[in-house]
Amino acid sequence: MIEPIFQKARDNNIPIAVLIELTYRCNLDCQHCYVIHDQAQNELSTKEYYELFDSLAKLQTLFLTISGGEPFIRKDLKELIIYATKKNFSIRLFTSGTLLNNDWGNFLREMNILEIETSIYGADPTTHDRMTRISGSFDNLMKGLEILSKNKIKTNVKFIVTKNNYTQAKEIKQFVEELGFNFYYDVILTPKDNLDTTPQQLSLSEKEMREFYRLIDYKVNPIDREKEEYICNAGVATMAISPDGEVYPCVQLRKSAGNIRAESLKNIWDKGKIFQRLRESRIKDYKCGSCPLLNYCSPCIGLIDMETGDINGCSETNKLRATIIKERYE
Amino acid sequence: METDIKLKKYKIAKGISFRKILDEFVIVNSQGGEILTLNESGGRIFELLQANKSIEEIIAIITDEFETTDETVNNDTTEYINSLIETGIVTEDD
Repeated sequence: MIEPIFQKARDNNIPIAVLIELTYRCNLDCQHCYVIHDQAQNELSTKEYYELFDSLAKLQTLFLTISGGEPFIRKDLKELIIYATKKNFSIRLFTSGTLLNNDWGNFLREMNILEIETSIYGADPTTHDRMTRISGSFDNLMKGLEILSKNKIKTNVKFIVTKNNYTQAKEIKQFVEELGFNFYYDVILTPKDNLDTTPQQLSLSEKEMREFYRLIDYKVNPIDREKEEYICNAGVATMAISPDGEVYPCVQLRKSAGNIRAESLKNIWDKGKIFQRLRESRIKDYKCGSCPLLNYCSPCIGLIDMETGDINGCSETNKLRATIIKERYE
Repeated sequence: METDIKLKKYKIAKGISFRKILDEFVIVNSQGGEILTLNESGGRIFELLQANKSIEEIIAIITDEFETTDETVNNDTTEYINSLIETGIVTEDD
C-alpha cells in the first residue's frame, strides 16, 4: 500500500516523508555515531518548530520522523509531539530508548506514534556499553523496551553491526523478537558529518561481512531496478532538517538546499539547487546505472558523496555489501 | 435509517493520521499500521466528519456537491461511514 503513495509523491515532488533532527545533543557517546555533538548550538525554538510543522502540512508531508542526537533531551518534546499529532502527522521517533519512563510510555500511547526506532549494539551490557561509552546504557535500554512493550507501542530495534559485535547477531535477533519487537540490522557505518572516518574503523571486513550474512542466513531478493526511476527519495519525496534549520535532501546527503530561518520552506523545496539536481537525475544518469551490482545494492548517494566527494561516484562500503549479497544469490 | 442515528456525529479516531495529497486522502492508522487512501467522494465525507457534521448534514452536502439523488447518497454515505467505523478510522463523538 505504501509504495504507490511514495511513487505518487516522487512523480509530483511532494515531500511526503520528512526527518527532523531536533538536537545534536545526546546522553550517549556512541563510537559509530555520525553526529557532531559539539555543534549543539542555535537549535530551533518551540515556536519555530510549530511554524515548521505548519509549513510541512501545507507541503503535504504526512510522515514525520523525529530524530537527533537524542530527541528526548529536548525539554519541549512533549509539546512538539502534541502539536505534530494535532496537525495529523504520522510520527516516528528515533531514540536510544534510554530516557523513557512510565510517564513517557503513557504519553506516547495517546499520540499518533506510528513506531519507535531504537538501536542495540550487543547482547550483553559489556558489548553494548562499549559502543555507547556510557555505563548502564544497556540496562536503561532494556527498561525503555519494557515500557514500550507494556504500552504496546510498535518498536523496531536496529542492530548496528560492527567488528566487535557481529558474532552476536543470532542471539540479538532472537532476543528482540522474543520481546515482540521487529528486528533490523545495518552493516553500513558512515563517516561523521565532518567526514571524519573514525566510525568506519569499526566496519566489518570483507571476511567478517561474509560471516555475518552466513550467521543470519541472509536470503537474497535482488530487486530489478528500473533505470528511468529516481535513485532514491532524497530531495524528490523526502528531506531532512537540522536542529538549526538547514534543509538537506536526506539525513545522509549533507548538501544544504537552504535554511528555514532565511527563506520559506516552500521556496527551499521548490527551488533549492541540490533538489533541482536530484530531480533531474535518474538511475541511468549515475554510475550505478551501468553497474552489474545494481540489483543487489542499495546505493546511497549521501554515502557516495561522503566517500568520493561526488554524488555520481561509487561507495566502497555499498559495493562490498552488494558483492557479498550477489555471491550469496549465485 | 432512524432519525436519531442520522443526527449522530462522529470524530476521527485516536491514532489516525491523514493528509490530503493531491486529489486523495491518505490515512494512516498508527494503532495497527494500516494505510489506506480515500477517493474524491470518500475524502469529502472524511473532511465533513472531521468538521463534526452529522450524517444528515453530510448527506445534504454530498447530494448538493455531487449532483446526485438523496436516496443514492443516503445509502452510500451510511455504508461508507459504517466501513470507516469498522476499520477504526472514525468513532462516535460522545
